[in-house]
Amino acid sequence: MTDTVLATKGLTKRYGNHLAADRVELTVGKGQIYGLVGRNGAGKTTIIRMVSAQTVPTAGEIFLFGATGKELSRMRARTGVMVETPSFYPYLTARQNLEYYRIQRGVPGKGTVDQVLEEVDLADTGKKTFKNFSLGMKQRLGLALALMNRPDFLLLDEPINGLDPEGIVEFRNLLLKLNRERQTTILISSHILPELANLATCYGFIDNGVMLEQISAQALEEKCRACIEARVDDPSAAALVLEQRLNIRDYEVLPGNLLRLYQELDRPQAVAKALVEGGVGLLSIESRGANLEDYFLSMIGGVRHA
Amino acid sequence: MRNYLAAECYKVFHRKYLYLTLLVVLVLEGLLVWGCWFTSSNGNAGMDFHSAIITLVMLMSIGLYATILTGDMVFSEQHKHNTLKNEVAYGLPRGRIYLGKLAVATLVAVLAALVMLGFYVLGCWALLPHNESDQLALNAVGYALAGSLPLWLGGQGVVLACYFLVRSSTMAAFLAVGLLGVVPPILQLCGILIHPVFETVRQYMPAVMLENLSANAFQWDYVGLCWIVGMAVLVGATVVGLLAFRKKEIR
Repeated sequence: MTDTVLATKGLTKRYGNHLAADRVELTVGKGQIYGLVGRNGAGKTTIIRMVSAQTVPTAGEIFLFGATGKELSRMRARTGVMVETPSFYPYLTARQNLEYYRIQRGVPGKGTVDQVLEEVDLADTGKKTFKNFSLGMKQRLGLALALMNRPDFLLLDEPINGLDPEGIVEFRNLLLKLNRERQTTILISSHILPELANLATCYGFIDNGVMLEQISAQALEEKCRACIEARVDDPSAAALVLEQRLNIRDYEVLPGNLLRLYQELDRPQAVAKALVEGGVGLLSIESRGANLEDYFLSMIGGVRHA
Repeated sequence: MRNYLAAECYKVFHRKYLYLTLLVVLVLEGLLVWGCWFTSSNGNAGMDFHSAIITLVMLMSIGLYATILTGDMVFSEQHKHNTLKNEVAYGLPRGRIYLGKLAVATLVAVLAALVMLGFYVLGCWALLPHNESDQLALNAVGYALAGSLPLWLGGQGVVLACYFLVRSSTMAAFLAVGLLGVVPPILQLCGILIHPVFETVRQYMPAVMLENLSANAFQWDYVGLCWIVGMAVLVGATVVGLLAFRKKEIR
């Protein structure tokens, strides 16, 4: 388990009758940027809150850097956490707030605070107190706190909420830089999927507290690649027709009499014609190219309407 | 723990709350001293250093309720500002968080008490006439402090447990006032209406013991009892607070 930064086994959190997390098995490998994907209330924040000791699990185990039980506290000092809205003392300035936590955590060097404020572009806030910060500035300060102890593992819950487009790009570049230069492992939860798609090297899809799937970005890309999807009455006959008439070799036969073809993408009409002429009953045919959003929606059974 | 204590001190001493509170109290004390001096200098021969100091001794029970302010200074509405999550997420043990705040709240309370007492005593010393009973007055202050201090500490323990366990600071302050100040009269009533044992219990409530301090002047057995009760309340409240805080949901 040395290359595993975070692992959960049967992690469960129950609030009364509501299961916020249901036997979640999650594994984050060293150096990964793990995108935790789920809609609001799916259980993303609950999982991060359990990992960061803000709430006690009802059942299950958490392993951080291979340690569990009482050793977890020590390992949490190797993490940087930003959960929900960043929270600081409203009457202190950015520098005073960070200095307070620097002293509390025993982070050496008074220059650390200035350095980390510089990193998140908050070095010029002067005497402005936290209560007068914009939401974007608060997010940056939250990130500054998470980075202050140069963590090996960053847990970020919806970190780009409130950032302007420029801030989002800067934030993304900063995370990529940390991951590349310091080998910082990152778990980032978000429901803004296009943004996650720009970062993540691995995904975990969660819905109703249940971990539906964990998949690498590469495998997901494979799954989401452009294709022609044809639903037929006899998949074996259809496969034979496609191989013989169109020389198609790159295809998949999926449950539900579904064929997914990765060749002849610009000629769906030729595919349809070949199938019909080959005596195959063609029920439907369409060109597809799924993205992360489509994939997630297909996984949870489409958009839910209230 | 040393880092935690240093950080809490940094927070308390970098905000205006402590200084403004001290300023208000010192202004009020200044007015009281000035009033004593004014009556003394206008012919009231009964107003001297001794009688002004005895007034102070009788005001010692206010210190019990002042712990609500010192507790608030250190706890700093952490539930409202959601800042406790920054501490637990870093892996700081909850016991350290609780005891660290209790220690700093106690330190701040003792420091503030010394400043307020010092200001009043020095003011009276400088402005009011002296006589042979000065030494007796100073002894009375020493005696009252010796008896009050443990009871104040007990109060601080109760107050901090309330701040840790009740999400709203206002409700926590009300609960603390209720436990420290309202329970004794209820016990008194129960003692009259139900059973005398309630009256016996009431006699060991910190607020009641503070009131009785001047009636038991220079009885060191009573001071010893104050220490036993004060420490028992402090330990009891802290154990209850710690146990409840250990599994408390942090937002």
